[in-house]
Amino acid sequence: MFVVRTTTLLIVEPERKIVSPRSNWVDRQLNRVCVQLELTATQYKDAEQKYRAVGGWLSDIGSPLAIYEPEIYPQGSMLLGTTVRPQGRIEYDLDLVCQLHWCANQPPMTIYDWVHDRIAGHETYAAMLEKLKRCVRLNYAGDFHMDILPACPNDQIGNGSIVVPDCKLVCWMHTNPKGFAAWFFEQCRRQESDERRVMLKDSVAPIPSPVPSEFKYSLQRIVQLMKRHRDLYFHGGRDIARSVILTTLGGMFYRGERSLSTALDGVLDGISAALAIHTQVPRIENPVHPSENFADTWDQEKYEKFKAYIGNFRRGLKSVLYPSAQDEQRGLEKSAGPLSELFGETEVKEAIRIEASEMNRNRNQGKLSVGATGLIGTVRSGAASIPPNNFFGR
Amino acid sequence: MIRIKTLGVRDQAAWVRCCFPTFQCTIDGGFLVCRGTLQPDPVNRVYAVEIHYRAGQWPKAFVPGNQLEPLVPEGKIPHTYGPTEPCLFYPSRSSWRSDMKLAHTVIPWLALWLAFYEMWRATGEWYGGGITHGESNEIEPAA
Repeated sequence: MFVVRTTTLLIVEPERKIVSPRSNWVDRQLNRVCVQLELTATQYKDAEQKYRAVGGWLSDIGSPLAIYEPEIYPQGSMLLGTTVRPQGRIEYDLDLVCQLHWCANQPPMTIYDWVHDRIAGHETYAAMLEKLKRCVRLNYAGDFHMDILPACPNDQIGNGSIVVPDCKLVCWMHTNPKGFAAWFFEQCRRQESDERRVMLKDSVAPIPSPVPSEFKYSLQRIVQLMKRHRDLYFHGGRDIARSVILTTLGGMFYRGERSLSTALDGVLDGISAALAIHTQVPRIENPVHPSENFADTWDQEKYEKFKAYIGNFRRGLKSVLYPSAQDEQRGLEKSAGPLSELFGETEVKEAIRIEASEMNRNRNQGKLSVGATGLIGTVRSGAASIPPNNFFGR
Repeated sequence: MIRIKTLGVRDQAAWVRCCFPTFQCTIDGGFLVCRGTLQPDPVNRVYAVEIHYRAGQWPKAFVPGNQLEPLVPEGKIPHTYGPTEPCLFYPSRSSWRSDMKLAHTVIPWLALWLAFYEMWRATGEWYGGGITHGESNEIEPAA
């Protein structure tokens, strides 16, 4: 007899492949989809206001927590710049860490109760409060909730490591949201070398101001696209393909390719190859804290569903980038179809509308040219451009 | 009155072959037929196309066979004269004159039309703009 042990996810180096001639077109559409996935300015501002209000309440000088010098900072997608606009009944959220000091000797439930009781002491918050395994949740009216994670620093490890109470197991769990964010941005920078610092200081650290989609790292967009397909594929399903799992796997398998679609294809190849080795549920370790297993909620059934989601995603994207000879003869519509299935029909249609309007703008400015094979491209104004015309007819 | 110097079909054919080397041109009794392929973007399909032209008449562009398809059976494809003939320009001397090169006008317009046609196939919307039949009845004779 042997014991089957859960094993850490193995990385298989994927084969380098030829970049699809369609990747430019797909990149343009994916970039336009990502712009539409961003939270609206109102949604963002609203979340920030609520974050500041809750942060202020927790760290207020009159709060019983004040002597523990609470440090409030965001974690998760809001910090990583990987939020996606809520869709249907799905909410968007903000995760907030309420880190107390000189408290790691206390029993975990004491810390949880301190934070919980402080929130419950607020008239408005008390009515919105929900106790969860590792956090206190505030359910706002509308499509937003905030998870407050009570925490104490893990001074033995340092470097942003914290311990958080687990109500089910009544014990401390180790994690490191700051370290995870630093790791994620390190992966992002495989693409570029410019310094974009993540600010983490003060008692209520600001949530990073919204970066317009076009200035985001490819990896941030890859994670957004993975989350978007998750939301459509599972109609929710955030317990199967948790954001932190998608973010970790995205970061692990991203190789810094210039083209967004090629990079996403590479990430899906990488994940798929790694999952193929594991018939049993693997561990998905926190890259900065290997003893934390992000997949600890997976059983065989959930794992199979996750594999199916990755498989479907990968097949869909491949059919766009590397169509069969038969599909190739169907042209753009055969690419737009699977793209809509992956990321949403409205968003893809809007992307094509923008493609057309950019083409028209260049056409009106005399910047379009046509190559020997009919390939439409842009030229410097005036240089052998297509003369103006009006398509006639009904 | 502005005099224009009509470009002969031989010159037109030479320009087409020069700009679009894959095109084959034949002239029969002053009637020019250019056959070739166009692919506006790698994501688009490769279309076999034909240009028909007789000096002094309006040039015509065709996408023969059943390469073009309406969205529903028997449906209409926007900006076409018939199931295989896109309308590339408003027939007036301000759009096209016989001193213009097919290679610099009609063929690039056809590539553009095909790009918009595929977007229409995918979205049901015609984004290419243009003039709808009947908006102006003044169709000028060919230059």
